[in-house]
Amino acid sequence: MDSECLVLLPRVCAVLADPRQSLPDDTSLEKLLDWFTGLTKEDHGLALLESCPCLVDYISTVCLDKTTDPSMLSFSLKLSGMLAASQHGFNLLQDRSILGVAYDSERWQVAGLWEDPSVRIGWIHGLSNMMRHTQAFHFLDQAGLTKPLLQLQTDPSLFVASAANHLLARLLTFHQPATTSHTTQGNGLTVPPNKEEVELDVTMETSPGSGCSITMEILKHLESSLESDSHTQVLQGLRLLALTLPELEAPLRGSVIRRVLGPLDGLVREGRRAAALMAVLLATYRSGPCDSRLVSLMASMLNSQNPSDAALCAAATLHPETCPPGLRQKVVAVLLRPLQMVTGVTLLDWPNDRHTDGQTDHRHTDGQTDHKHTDQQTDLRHTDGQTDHRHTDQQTDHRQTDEDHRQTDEDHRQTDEDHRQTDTDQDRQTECRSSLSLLLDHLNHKPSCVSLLCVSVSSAPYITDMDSSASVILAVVSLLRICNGHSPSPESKAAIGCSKASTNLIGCSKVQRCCLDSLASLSTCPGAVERMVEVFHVLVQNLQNPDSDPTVLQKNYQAMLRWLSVSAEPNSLTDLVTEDLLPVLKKRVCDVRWEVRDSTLEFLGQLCEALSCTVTPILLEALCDQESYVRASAISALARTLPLSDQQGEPGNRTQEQTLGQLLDILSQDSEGFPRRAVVQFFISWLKTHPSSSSSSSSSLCSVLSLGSTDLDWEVKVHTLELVELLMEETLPGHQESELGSAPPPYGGSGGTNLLTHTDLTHPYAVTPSQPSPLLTHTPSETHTPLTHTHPTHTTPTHTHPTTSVVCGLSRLVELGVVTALLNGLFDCDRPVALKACSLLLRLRDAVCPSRSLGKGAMTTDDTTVAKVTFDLRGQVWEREVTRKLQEKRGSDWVKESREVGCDRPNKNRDSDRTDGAGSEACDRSTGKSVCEGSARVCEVLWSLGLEERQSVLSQSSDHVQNSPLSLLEDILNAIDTSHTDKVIVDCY
Amino acid sequence: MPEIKVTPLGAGQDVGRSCILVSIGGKNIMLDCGMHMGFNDDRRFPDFSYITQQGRLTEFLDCVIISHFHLDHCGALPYMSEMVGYDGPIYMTHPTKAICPILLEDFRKITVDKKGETNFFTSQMIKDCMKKVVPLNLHQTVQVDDELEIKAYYAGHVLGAAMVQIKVGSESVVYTGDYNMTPDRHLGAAWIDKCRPDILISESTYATTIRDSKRCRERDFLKKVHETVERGGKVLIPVFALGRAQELCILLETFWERMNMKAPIYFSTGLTEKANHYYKLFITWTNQKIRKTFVQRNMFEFKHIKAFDRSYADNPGPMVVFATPGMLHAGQSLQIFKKWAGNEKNMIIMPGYCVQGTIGHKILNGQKKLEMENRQTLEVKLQVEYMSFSAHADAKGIMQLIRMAEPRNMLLVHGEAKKMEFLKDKIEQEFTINCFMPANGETTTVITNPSVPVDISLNLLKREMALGGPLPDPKKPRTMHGTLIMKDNSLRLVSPEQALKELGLNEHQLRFTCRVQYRKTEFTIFIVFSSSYLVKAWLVLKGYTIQHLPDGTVMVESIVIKVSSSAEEPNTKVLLLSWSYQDEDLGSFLSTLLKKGLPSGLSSM
Repeated sequence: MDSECLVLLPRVCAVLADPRQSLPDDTSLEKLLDWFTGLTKEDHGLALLESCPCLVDYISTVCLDKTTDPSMLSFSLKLSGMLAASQHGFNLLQDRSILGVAYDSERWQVAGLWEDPSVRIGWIHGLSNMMRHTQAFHFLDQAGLTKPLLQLQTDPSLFVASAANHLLARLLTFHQPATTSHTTQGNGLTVPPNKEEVELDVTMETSPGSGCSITMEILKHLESSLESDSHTQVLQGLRLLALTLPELEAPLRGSVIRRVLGPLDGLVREGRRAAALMAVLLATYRSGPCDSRLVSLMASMLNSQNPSDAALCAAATLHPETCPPGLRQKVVAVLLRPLQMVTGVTLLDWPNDRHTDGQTDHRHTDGQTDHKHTDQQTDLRHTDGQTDHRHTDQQTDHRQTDEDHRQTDEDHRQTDEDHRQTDTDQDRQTECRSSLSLLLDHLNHKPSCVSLLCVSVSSAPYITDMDSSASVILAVVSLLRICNGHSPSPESKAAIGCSKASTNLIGCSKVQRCCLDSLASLSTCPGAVERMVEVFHVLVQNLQNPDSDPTVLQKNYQAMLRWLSVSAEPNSLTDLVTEDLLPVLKKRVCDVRWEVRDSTLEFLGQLCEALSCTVTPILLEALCDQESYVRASAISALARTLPLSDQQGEPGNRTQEQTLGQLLDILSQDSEGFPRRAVVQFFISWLKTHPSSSSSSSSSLCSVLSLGSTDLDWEVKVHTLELVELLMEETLPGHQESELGSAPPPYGGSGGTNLLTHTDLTHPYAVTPSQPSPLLTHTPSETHTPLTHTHPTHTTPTHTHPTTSVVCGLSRLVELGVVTALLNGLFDCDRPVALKACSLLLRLRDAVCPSRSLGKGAMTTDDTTVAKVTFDLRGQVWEREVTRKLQEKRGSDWVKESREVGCDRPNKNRDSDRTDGAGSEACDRSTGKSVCEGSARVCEVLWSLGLEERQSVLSQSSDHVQNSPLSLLEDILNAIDTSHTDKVIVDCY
Repeated sequence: MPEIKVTPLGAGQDVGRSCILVSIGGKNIMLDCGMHMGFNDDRRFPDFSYITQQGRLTEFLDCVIISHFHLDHCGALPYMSEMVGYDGPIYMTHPTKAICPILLEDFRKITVDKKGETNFFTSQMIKDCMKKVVPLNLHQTVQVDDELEIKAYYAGHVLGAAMVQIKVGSESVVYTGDYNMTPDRHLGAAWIDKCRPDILISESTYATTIRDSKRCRERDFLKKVHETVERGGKVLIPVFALGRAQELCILLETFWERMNMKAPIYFSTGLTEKANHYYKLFITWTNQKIRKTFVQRNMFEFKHIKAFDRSYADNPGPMVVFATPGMLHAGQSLQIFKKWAGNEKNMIIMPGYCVQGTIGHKILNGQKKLEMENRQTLEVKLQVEYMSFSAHADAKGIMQLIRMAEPRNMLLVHGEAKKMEFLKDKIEQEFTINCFMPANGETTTVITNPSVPVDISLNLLKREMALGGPLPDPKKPRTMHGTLIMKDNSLRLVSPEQALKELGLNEHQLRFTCRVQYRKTEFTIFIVFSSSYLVKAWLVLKGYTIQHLPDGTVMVESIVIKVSSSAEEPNTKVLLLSWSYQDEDLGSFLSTLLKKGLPSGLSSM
């Protein structure tokens, strides 16, 4: 903490502790807390407490006052917890008896402050901050704070309840008994019950004050919550469990699971709160060794009577890395069945699959836990897995002991099993029929149909394998057709009875969006290419439908691009594109909805790039669109087609010139920023494919630089500077290697370095260094512009004398207006613009201008020639500022030089020494000004601007001064001082 | 019982970011998705993890509705749709959809200015978000799905601001957003029909304020500008891109015209043109006066207001400049402020609220020495004025809206807790309805009357009319008698006969009987007969027809009354009473009358 803050803090504390004062800004206290949090990060607030004893006084005053403002009390509670996070701070606050008073919830209830949720939140956060050492844990225990905390778990405020749950989870994991070895079976599942767990329970019950009592209290509460009739209590209990279980270690973990298994089973039977329940089961499964009974419960959830619940559970379970292997097939069946029923595409081998499911599950269960019952049996009976397990064990024992009558028993058992099998088959068929009928009901009801199919289709990409992917793609395609009003294939038996579902889906954009997202993901699955034509047809069909929602069309385009990108031979689709796609795209470019026009143009640009075709006339037409977003997209699409139009020699130079003219008109006249930004970006792309040296290029670039650097939109200006950067690299190639790359920015400004790296990667015309540069090892796919498009006239002649090249380059930059554009940027009020310009000017100066520090004697003739290059600054906004800086610089240089050569040296001599200088200096002598006839030397200006200093200022956030802790403290004090004057009303931004 | 739940994630007892979650008829709707400009981290956006885990907003929410383009109502929208991943429908009015991206871009620029900020949306994200928006027209009912419908009403406040009615079945909620009940220079007053929503969710920014008339504020503003200009000073008005700036421009333009003022007025960043474009495009959303005079003269074509060039700031002489951003945290407004702050002849007028951490906030707090970059100090000598021009309904306006909409319950948001408390009491007293003011994260649950739609057969209606009943009127509830048939997920009320016919059922009669026994004395007999006569007389008086059967039995409608002697006890007389289910009311009345109407001492069985 700096000394100024240290001086102000006691005053601020005094003001905050005064109940008559109120804070005008609701963010001040939170920001203050942020600051303290930062300060206490390293030493848990030790230094803060030592240097600012006023903080403890402040907390004491606020917490003893029952009339304090709720937000102030909340802040004090959070702060006290933060300070008590260290044992030293804790002891200090305990010595002053502050903690007991501050965290006495009853006291705040009596004072009427507890009603305010901010106080309750402060109370929880304070305790949470504090829980870093055992003393704090014991304080919570002894003060009996667990009880109010448990009550807050079902607080009416979501924020309070959630914070309480997090703290409870933390308390449960805080004081875990030592980890012991855990008996785990080969299949990863554990064998219940565990002796250690039982012992642990006994220890927790009988060890008050050891921290176990808190754990016990929370666990009992958790158990009763899960058995409660209150929806909120159950939900919060489940949330706590989901938070805690992944963090718990054996044997506590096992103990917790054993306690909650019964209530969880009850909840599964009730068939409600499916999502929260499944979250708990999955959290448990994923977090470590798992009780087999949990897997049984998960299986039961998947057999839920409510197809929507079952689908949600299945979707949650689907994650390939964490889905219990035995459930995978069941999960897939639950998810794909609705899709199969509606589309009629066979995705599952069922109704036989039901049987297969059972067998699979049965086998899996056998393999894992020696259970003899199937999932279906478990589901139908809703019995505890443990009971069944014991029952089966008994049977097995019986079989093993009765050796003499083995054959007879075998026969009996066989008969029993046959009977049982028949019963089970009948049960299964009945269950299957009822389940089908339920699913059908759901599918015939529009909202549940839409929701089910969305879950089903969204999960589809994650359940495909080599065999099924083609069918899944077909099913999604069929569903899209149904949404477009086509009936499902008439020969499919599965779709019978779903006619209402099909009607419900016509024009349903929610399902369409899901299908298209899914289809895009399915493009990469094995065997997808075989379905390419069908997919393409349905996507074109979507485009042809005039009623398609704009969001659907956008996703349609995205899916189309994904499929095009995976096509082994995009050219094979050319006919399809030219015959089917382009005509409909032409229509969509004229759609009444701008969203559709824009998405179409965006797509067109990407399509042209992917398939190497050009659609320039359509794009040119769109330049006159009334919507600025659309105009911008048309320009961006044109930029994407640039390399292609050059390659194919179209649309011809004349049209190209017209296009350039049109774009310049947009840059100078369009009232919206988006098209203007796009124009400058177009020229960036253009410069990458065209030489800047041609006359048309030069004039266009001059116009872009002049218009762009004085634009009203900050991003147009930044893009203009990106163009400047490219021009600099192109014009001063040798120096990019030798100077630009070698010298890091003196103040460590990240801007310059990053810019350089970025440009090297993206600009294919940067001169290749003599040694292969790692920067150039990128693959062509990393850049949008093919590397083969180098223009022969554009390469810098290697035999040119470096200095001549620099002089020419600098003169050329001046000619193009680069220096003016950079200075426009430097003096811009938008910080990102000024920073970028400053970085570029620094690079230009370091690359081109001879260093003054070398001293006059060290300067070569060539350096002097470079130093002579001038530019015109007449009429510029910054003319006065630059002139002033030049004068200041000259003044200081003169003083410096005078000191170097001796103070008694007459002025005359100084002048005579400079006669070998530039014309402007001669001019200076005659006029006494730094600038002659409106022109100034580039290098001299660059050295005079104090660029390093500027860069260091600009590199900081624009609000770093106003957002500093000192500024915050001042604001708090000032707000109090002026509280008597007219209050500023917080209304809207 | 059906219920509506309202949970503010923002704007609950504060004027931060508005984000209110409503659950109605099984549908979940998010009202506004605003941001808090006072924070630079994730706290500026609502915490969507409270709504649903793993960011599955699309599955949970049925739609998002944005009331107007202010950032505290729409600023988190691209974050929500493009970064968190909400993919469902978003509704806002046409002007809001057009202007929203401008303000979002404006804010994005501020964020870029503040270095080190991450997790922020890009320009492309703003566009992609806007592409998901479905525009709303005023008073047009839009079906979000088969059950959920929404309807927008004019809210004043800013161009395109709307109140929305959300309806699922017979349950409805109205959300006002920010609104203004008095017209201003370019916008009209908010209006809503008598839609009797179950809950009216209203902003309450000026809950305790009876605002001085807007005219007074305008006069003050003009006076101050005039005085400054007259003494040769310069006036800086920092504003956000669009909104109240246009209102102030109209004000100054008119004043300059009237007073023949010559000092230049400038508007920075080229927004005048853009604003004009939108105000012309959405002329139907402005007030009546502007709409009427639009053909003769467009109020938004300013003669005196010119585009600002940064070199003008150094020009000598008086001038008025509107510059962005509105809180003086960066950009042009800050640059001009730095130039003009040292001259006491100049003035700065802050027309809106500034968050902590901005120079706007500091000067409004009266700071006279500001620390700038490089430890430089800026002395603030110019005159600082705060003049809120934001148009919100004051306490009077809120009461007026309640009178208009006649809600069954009231819920206050977007206001300070203490002020809300005052208004809540006032509302509960005056309208005798419940008024809630949940804090952020707190859920208010309102139980609504279940409404089950039932079709009534034409025959039944005709029969009712034939009996002299009034014609059916949807606004006047009345009781109908008939048989309710529940079949194929529908309910129909038909006549009993039609029901029997339709369902192929035979009618069964259900009769209630009652037996009253009296001891046979002369006095008793007298009493019994007199009672019978009294009953008869009462029935005649009530217009019932009495039939006397040959065996002495009396019949009224389906009621049979018979006096007989008991075979077992000759000293007693028995009065037998029987009636059918249809005449249950009359039958039970007569039974009570016969039992209780007799003197005590007589036994009844």
